Amino acid sequence: MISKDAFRRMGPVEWEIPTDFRKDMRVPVRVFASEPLLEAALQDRSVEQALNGSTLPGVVGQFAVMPDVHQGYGFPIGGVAATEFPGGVISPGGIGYDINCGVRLLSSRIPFEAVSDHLEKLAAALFSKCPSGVGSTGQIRLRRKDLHAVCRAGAGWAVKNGYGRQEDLARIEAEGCLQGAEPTALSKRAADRGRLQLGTLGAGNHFIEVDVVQRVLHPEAARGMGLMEGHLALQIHTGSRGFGHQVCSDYVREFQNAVGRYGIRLPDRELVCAPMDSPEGKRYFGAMNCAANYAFCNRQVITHSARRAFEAVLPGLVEDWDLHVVYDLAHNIGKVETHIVEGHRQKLLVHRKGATRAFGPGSEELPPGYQELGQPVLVPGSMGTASWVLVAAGGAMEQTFGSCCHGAGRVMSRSQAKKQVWGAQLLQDLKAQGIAVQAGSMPGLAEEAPSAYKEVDSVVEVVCQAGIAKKVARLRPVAVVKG
Amino acid sequence: MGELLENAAVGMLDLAGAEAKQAESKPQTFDITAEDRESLLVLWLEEILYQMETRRVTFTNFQVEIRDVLSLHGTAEEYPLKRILKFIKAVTFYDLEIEEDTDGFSTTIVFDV
Repeated sequence: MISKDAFRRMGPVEWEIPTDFRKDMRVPVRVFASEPLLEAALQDRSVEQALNGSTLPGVVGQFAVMPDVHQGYGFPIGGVAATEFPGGVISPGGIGYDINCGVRLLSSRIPFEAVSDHLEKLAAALFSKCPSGVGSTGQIRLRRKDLHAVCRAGAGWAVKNGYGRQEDLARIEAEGCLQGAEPTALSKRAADRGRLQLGTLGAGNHFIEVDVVQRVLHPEAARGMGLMEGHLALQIHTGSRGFGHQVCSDYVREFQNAVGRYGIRLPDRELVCAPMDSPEGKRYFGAMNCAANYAFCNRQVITHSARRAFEAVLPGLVEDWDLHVVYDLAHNIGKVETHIVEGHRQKLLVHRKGATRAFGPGSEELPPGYQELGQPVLVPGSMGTASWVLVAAGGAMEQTFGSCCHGAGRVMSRSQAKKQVWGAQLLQDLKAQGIAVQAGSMPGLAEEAPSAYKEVDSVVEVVCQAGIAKKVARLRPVAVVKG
Repeated sequence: MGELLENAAVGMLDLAGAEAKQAESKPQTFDITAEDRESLLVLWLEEILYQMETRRVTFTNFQVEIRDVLSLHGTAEEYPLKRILKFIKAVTFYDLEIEEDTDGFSTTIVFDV
């Protein structure tokens, strides 16, 4: 276990382990955390995993660790590493099994008071129209060529096929479509798993949540995002489903041999990687982009289903029940971006695993409405507490390769949570708090109990204090759908 | 080693809470080759997960024969899947090492759930 003595305090919420801590480190590990959050991170193996991540060939700058960090496989969840592009490596374990797991936030003009007596009905409609649960399949059956079209067009495929509107696309990271998708790099197994699961939420920590905008702290940004105090918003948290899991599994396995071929030595087999300019690296990058685009498309189809659910329940209660995309972003991804490293602009492959992109004001990659404000950053908390909408600040580009935290972060494993929390009791507790819940499984609900997560407010305080982001609005959950 | 793979499969299905429908079973065979024994274990478990998800089946009575160090022939009884309680995304290589001592083979497998 790593102790606190290994760190140098670099600022009020910044801690660093220098490269002389371990011989194989190529860059320092920089943790963004308050003292209690750092101590929480030291309770599992997440810092050790960050040290392992700092050994990747071609890694530059620093290995950044977000305040919601917790133990993963290979990288910690909440880890950001940038490698030279194309000279460095790409590591599937630095991106995660659920490629482009991410969050979409939608705003509305629906006053909470107008619908507060109808939340159970709204949750039931969302549950019914958005397939969820273990191994769930959707209404869409993709033929092979359709799947390839989804891989190439991402969310644009959904809009073209009637699942949403053109204006939705402008407010998605990369407009919902990453370049470089290569369907020929997919295995038959990945294709088999992808064909039936488009438009499905899945299980685990994935959810659809109706929130009320509880407090606005940055009125200009909130206005730009369409968020109004006392009005409903909707979050969708899901990813590329079995399709992405299979892509990651395929390449973690394939790369087991690649590391030997390219003479790469690693402290953990789950960190396997290949040079970005190698045939294996290029194939994984092509397949990973396919899965990322599938995930963007998945959240777009679910958005369409959520709009139908609102339309089924809310006419007669409010005049306008429409939902507008605020933003959609990935938190398990590898992206080619340009950043300044030691004073020089450099093209990098930024691995974000359990970390959200956070491009500050002035970034050309942002849509017009957000170029001046900075990119919205979505930080969902646990289902019984709160979520935050932030806006990226300039410090993110300087300190974290334009990255921010992605959630509250677990403090309790799923099995621990199931031992300590009884799902049916939790359901009652949430109802008593005025939160309507539709869940496919009570043990699954228990795993996601609020007590299994860190306090999201304290996580958000850290990134704001570090100058990575600014607070825009706090959201309070009022209805939750879980698979 | 064969027994380790059999037990790993049983353990994984138990973790997933896989429940079979009451139906006639069908024999199923598996032939897998890998580069090393840890990869053989991962491939074996991945194959079972893949069959479960795409064909909605589950298995009992695994018998695994190691044909040479790096390939296996497995058999099992296949049943239609009634439900699973826990979705296993992936079998990871995280800290994966198969150890052998006088009691036989042992390992710890970390699943992404």
